[in-house]
Formats: sequence, C-alpha cells, structure tokens
Amino acid sequence: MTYSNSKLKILAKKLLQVSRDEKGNLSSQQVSKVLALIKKQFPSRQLRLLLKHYLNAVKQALLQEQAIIEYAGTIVPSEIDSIVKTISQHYNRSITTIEKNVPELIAGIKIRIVDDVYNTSIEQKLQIIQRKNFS
Amino acid sequence: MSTLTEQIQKEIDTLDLNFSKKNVGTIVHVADGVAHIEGLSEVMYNEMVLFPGDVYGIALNLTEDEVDCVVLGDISSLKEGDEVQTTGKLLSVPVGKELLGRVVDALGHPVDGKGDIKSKEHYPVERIAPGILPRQSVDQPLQTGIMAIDSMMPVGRGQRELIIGDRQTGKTTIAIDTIINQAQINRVGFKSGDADFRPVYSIYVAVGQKNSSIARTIATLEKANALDYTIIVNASAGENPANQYLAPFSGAAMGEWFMQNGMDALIVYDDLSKQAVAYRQISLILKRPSGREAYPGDVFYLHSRLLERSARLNKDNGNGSLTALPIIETQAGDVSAYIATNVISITDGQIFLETDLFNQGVRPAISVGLSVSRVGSAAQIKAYKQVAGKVKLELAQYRELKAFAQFGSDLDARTKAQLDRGDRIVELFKQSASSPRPVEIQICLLWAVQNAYFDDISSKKVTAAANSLQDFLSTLQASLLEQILKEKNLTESIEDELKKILLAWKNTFQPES
Repeated sequence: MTYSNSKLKILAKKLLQVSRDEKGNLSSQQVSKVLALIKKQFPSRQLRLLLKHYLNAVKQALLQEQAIIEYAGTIVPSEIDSIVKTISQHYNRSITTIEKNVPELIAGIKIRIVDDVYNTSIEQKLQIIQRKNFS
Repeated sequence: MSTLTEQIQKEIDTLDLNFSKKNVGTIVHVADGVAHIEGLSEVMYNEMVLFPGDVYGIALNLTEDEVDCVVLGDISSLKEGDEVQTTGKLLSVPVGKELLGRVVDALGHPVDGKGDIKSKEHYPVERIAPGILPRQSVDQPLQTGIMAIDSMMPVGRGQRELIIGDRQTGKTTIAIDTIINQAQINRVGFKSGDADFRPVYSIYVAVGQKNSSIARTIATLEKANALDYTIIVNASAGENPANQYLAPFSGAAMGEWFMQNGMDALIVYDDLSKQAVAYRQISLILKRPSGREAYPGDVFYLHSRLLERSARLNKDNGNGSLTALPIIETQAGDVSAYIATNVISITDGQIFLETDLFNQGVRPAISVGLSVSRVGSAAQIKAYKQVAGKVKLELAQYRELKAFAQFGSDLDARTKAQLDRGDRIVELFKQSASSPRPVEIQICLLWAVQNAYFDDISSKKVTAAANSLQDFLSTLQASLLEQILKEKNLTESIEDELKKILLAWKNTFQPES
C-alpha cells in the first residue's frame, strides 16, 4: 500500500498526538516508542518521508513551547521570569525560553514564539522611521 | 538642515515605545513570482505581506502549514529563509480625484514621473459589488460620440458593454474615443456652469499591452486634452502576471470611489482576455486545479465579480454610477471561445467588430447583426429615439437586400431606394479615430439622412457631406444645437428650423468638389 504525501502528513500529526504524555507535553519516552513502532510496522520505502513529516511536526510542537528572547545589553532573571509568566498566560501553555544577546537591537527586546514576534527594540523603530521617510 | 532636525525631533516625540506584534513566516521556496511560506498563521486571504526590501505580496493560497503568496515586485532579491511579515491590511489602492491625469501601476503607485499622489483615501482592490437594494435601472445615456453605437446600441450610465473582436479591428479606438468624448462633454458642461451637469470621469486599465501602445494611447488622450479627466492603470506585458491580474480590480476600486461619492465614472478594461491568461498563469503556479483550456475553475467568477462592481446607484445611495467597457480579443472571429462567452454572458450587451468590415474601410467596423445593447433605448434621449428608432432595422434589411441584389440587376424602385438609404447610413456611420461627434450633431445628421437630404449626394461623398454639415451646424447654428440639447426632443419648431438650415447648407455644399 502506498500513501499519498498528504496522507503521510496526517499520519505524522497523529503520531505527534501519541508522542505526548498525560500532561500533554512531548515526552522523549513516547517519541522513542513511536519511532520503534513505525520502523517495525511501516513500509520501508515510505518510511523516510514519514519520518521527515514526523520530524517537522515535532519541531513545530517544540517551537510552540519555546520563546526566543533577544535583547541588547543586559537582562535580569526577574525580567525573564516576568516575561515567561505573561506569555505562558497569554498562550495558555507552559513556555520555556532561550535568551540571546543581540547587540544589533541597540536597546529593547524581541520575543519570538513560533510565528509571532513581539518587538520593542530600537532597531525596529529605526527601521519604521527609515521606511516612512526614506524609501 | 532645520527641517531635517525638526523631522527627526517629531519622530522622537511620536515614537511608540510599546510592543509591536507581528506575525511572521519564512520563505521555503520561491519561483515564478510565487513564494511558498511557512508560518504566517494569522494571515488573511488577500492580505498584503511584506518581504525583505519592501517588496509586497498577496496571500492567495492558505493551507494548514503553508501560505502561497504572489510577489508583486522584484523577486530577484528574495531567497529561501527570508522573513516575511503580515501587514494586517488587505491589498488596497489610493483613490480620489488626485489620481486624475495620472498613470499608475496596479498598486496605485505613480509611474508617470509626475511625483507623489497626495491621495487621502484608499479602497481595497477586492470589494463586494453593490447589492440589489442600492441599485436602480440604467436610464441615463453615456454618449460614446460614435454614431453607430449611440444610435443602434446605446450605452447607459452603469451599464457593462463588451467590446469584442479580433486583433487590429479598432477595439481600443472605440474605448479611447469614448473617453475623449466624455472629456469634451465635461469641458462644455463645466464651462456652461450648469448646476445639474454630471461629469463622467474615466479610468483606462491597460492589461498585458506593449508599453509602446500605452505610450501611444496616453499621447492620444493628451492631444485630445482628455487626460485631465482620466486615470490610467498600467500593467504592461513586461510586468509580472500578478500585477496584470490585479490591475482591473485596482481600476474598479478607483472607479468605485467616484460611484460611491455620487459621481459618474467610466472604466475600460483593455483587455480581459489577457487578464484571464495572467490569472491562468498564477493559478497553474499555485497548483490550483485547472479546467477547460487550463483556466482555473473560478475564471468565470474572476470576471463576474469584477463586472458586477459596475452599477448605477439610486438616489438614496448618491446616484453615482460606474459604466464598464470590457474588451475581449477573439481569435479568427470566434465569439464562442471560453472567455468570450463567459464575458458575453456577464455583460449587458456587446459591440462586435469584424475584420472584414475593417478591411473594407467600414470604421468603426461594427457588425450590426452581432452587436446589441440590452439596455436599449432606455439609455437614449427622446430626440435620439425619434431619429434612430428604426436605423438598426433598416440596416439589417439593407444587408439582407444587398445580399439578394447581387444575384439580379432589375430592382424595383422601393428596393433600390432602400439600398441607397442603407448605403448612405453605412457611409454616415464611418468615423475617423479620435473624432467623436456630439449627440446633438448626431441627431441632426441622422434626421437629415432620414428625411432624404442626403439622397442626391453620392454615397462616396456622404462622409464628406456629414463632416461639412457638422462644421456648418457647430459654427453657424450653435443656438439650434443648444435648443436640441435643452429640449431633448425634436419639436415641430426645431424640425422646421432644421429644414431651413439644411436647405441653406445644401447651397453651400458642393458634392463634386
């Protein structure tokens, strides 16, 4: 039996659902079980494509739980805690953070969660001024 | 220097230090003017998205994981991995009187080198057409200045009249002459100071044409002083298909502004066959299922939603109108082609131009048999109805008789008279480009032919005679023309006056000269 690309995507999403623990978080144990199962059960000629879709789905799911905080200068842990609390509340899920010092921002911070970007950096303000007045 | 510092100071004062939220995505693949983007989870259908380098695009295919965007600018600088952001705005163009006299692209950006357009308003290019309640029936004439059209297939304000024909049959010329005529009427109307005068503003949308052709059209309009009342939307053959697909919608948005603000506007789509081809190209790249002739399934909807935006609004909604003259190019006179039949079924009539007639020197090469206006005489003033009521029938009978007359030489006097009259009407309807005739002149000319004043003029001289009579009337008999326009009816006194004038003119006109 050959599966179409769209069917493989749907299957990868279903596999993602069973890769979560009872709290709804992705668990490495569950992922290992899923991998072992599909290696054993799934036709080998389409296994590579299914694994690719599964990887994408897992990556997307991980990104959903992760916020990348970029800042210029210094940022104190209490500020990060406050940000995590606010965004976890907003997205209604627990979110972990990765902090990066990016001097190009000049000042301010930029937070990225999946495809939402919250920006208060001076770099972005200058870009707006440039677009408004010089383009 | 001080203005520069003031400008920066102003920006500092108004600087928003709050968070700005944007929804972003990443280009995964870009080719053929289309970018496939991952992310953009909050993008709306038809929303403008911003690529790096201030290049805009529109989101056209929204799937669960990916968004397909048509890029509206230079695609060469875009690459895989570039960040794309939503703008929260549907694709919109500047509208208003500030655009008159300007040449803009499909996004409303000026391309004529005359500086920025200080437009105060923007309209989305895709708008829902007016519904049933705000509309009223088409009953006000929109004079094209072309006798054959105004007499036999009159166009009303708010009507959609298709101009269809092969290449090089004079389709654009008819549209341009109509625009020139509106400008001439506007000039006279504004000069008269008549408070009830309703000007008609024109929008000419050029799709997939050569830039040289567009330059020629602009020069023609400039020469006829018609550009001041016209907006030109240009998406030439060299531009990407997305712009060619969007240009008619942008033009419609500009026309709608006039209509929604109680004014009358005319829009020419030159031409919709090329727009359909551009749309087919985009759809195939977007991997949408294709149907007949590889056009996508919604190609009918593409044209129907565009042409439905032309309407005549009732008094409660400002009494404005948007008249559309879409153009379709046929191949070898085939009106039964896919796009042609689609647009014929959408519009309120068509003007069919024939290559044979054009080559015979009948210009405009209008085929009387295949052309029709479904609005009919409702869009004619009473005086015109009085003189042109039977012209179409007479011409149809003339063509039939002419076909039979080829087989025999002995014709009875009545048939011969009918043929002679037909010959003269055909000659009278010949009109050179960029010389639209005012309606009052058209009425006088037709009245003269119907009342046998041209019978002793050989058919070869009818065009010269018509031009001579036009000059005579406009230079020496302006008061009569004004009276016809004012009364909108050929009263007995006007007819008596016309008889006297025509006798006076015949003394001055020498047919053999």
